[in-house]
Amino acid sequence: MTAADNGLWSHLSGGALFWLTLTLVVYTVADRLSLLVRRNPLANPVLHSVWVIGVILVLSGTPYETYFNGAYFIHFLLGPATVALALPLYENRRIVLRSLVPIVAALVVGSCATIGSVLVCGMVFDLPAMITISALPKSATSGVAMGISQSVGGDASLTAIIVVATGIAGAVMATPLLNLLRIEDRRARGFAVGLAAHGVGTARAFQVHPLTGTFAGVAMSLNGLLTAVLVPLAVTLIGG
Amino acid sequence: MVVGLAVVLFCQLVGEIFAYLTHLPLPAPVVGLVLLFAFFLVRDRWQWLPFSLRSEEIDKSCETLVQQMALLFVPAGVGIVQRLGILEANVLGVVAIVVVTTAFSIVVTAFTFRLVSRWFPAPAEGAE
Repeated sequence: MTAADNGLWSHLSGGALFWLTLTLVVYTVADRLSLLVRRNPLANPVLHSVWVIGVILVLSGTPYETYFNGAYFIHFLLGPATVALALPLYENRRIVLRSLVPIVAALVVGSCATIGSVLVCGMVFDLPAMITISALPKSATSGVAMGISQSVGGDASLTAIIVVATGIAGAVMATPLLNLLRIEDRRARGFAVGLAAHGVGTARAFQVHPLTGTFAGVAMSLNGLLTAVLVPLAVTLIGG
Repeated sequence: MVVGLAVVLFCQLVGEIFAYLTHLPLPAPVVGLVLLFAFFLVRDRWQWLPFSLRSEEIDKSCETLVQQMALLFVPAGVGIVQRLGILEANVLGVVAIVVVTTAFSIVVTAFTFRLVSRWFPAPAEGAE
């Protein structure tokens, strides 16, 4: 590499433009590839964008902070996107209202099961308390989960990683898992994936069917609320 | 686009103020969602809202945000490069948390939903 190249690279890699562009380009390619294989869950665009960009950062020796300065413009929109879920919810309010009883039941049982199973995992694998606490809000959407994690003394960055990994895992597993269990009700399928895998799962659910997506969105917003109440309770109970 | 973004951000801002003042453990975007929902209810019932607040652009902005939501998780996910050490040291437990508890949540939630909707079947279309 010549000195001029090196100068250009350090000029670009220090700024926001390069990393913002890279994120959009990598995601667009990953999304097109996912379309090409007819939305096979294994071709999840978030999964493949994350590792490709991660490898680029490691190989180029770029600190995450530098990358995040650029990518922050995208990250910021997580909050507004959560607010915007009001639209599909509003458009489907009648069917949601008619399913109110199963929604409340599945929400309470699912949310407690998630938090309880993380606590069990923490004990079985003897994880450091910091990891277990940071993983408790794992099924709430990123912006919400990071706030909860901070308020109970967790590591918000670690929470964000576990949350996104959970979202990806849920989005990849949901379709085959629910087919295996022969659950055909679109409301149940959507609600389950939205509760367990928040926005990444909801995005996947919208690819499958608008009704599935709406119930995923409902589950994601309700579980964000309930997780914000349950996690501080759980931490107090275990004396964290 | 501008009207839509302004309305969405405004709802989130009010959510932020609400959460700050009440000290409730309510995430600002979730409060914002409830507000925007209320806004849609009001908009479709009352005709006196100023023209720009009746604009279809608000719906379009929301649609775009929801459709592209997956992209927004990429920057936080890439944060994994920062925590490789602690994750590697606890790899089994972390994988169990990410994979096993997520599968468990999906199964438990879906079964609960189906079971309870059999006990309480949805009223027929247009019954309300």
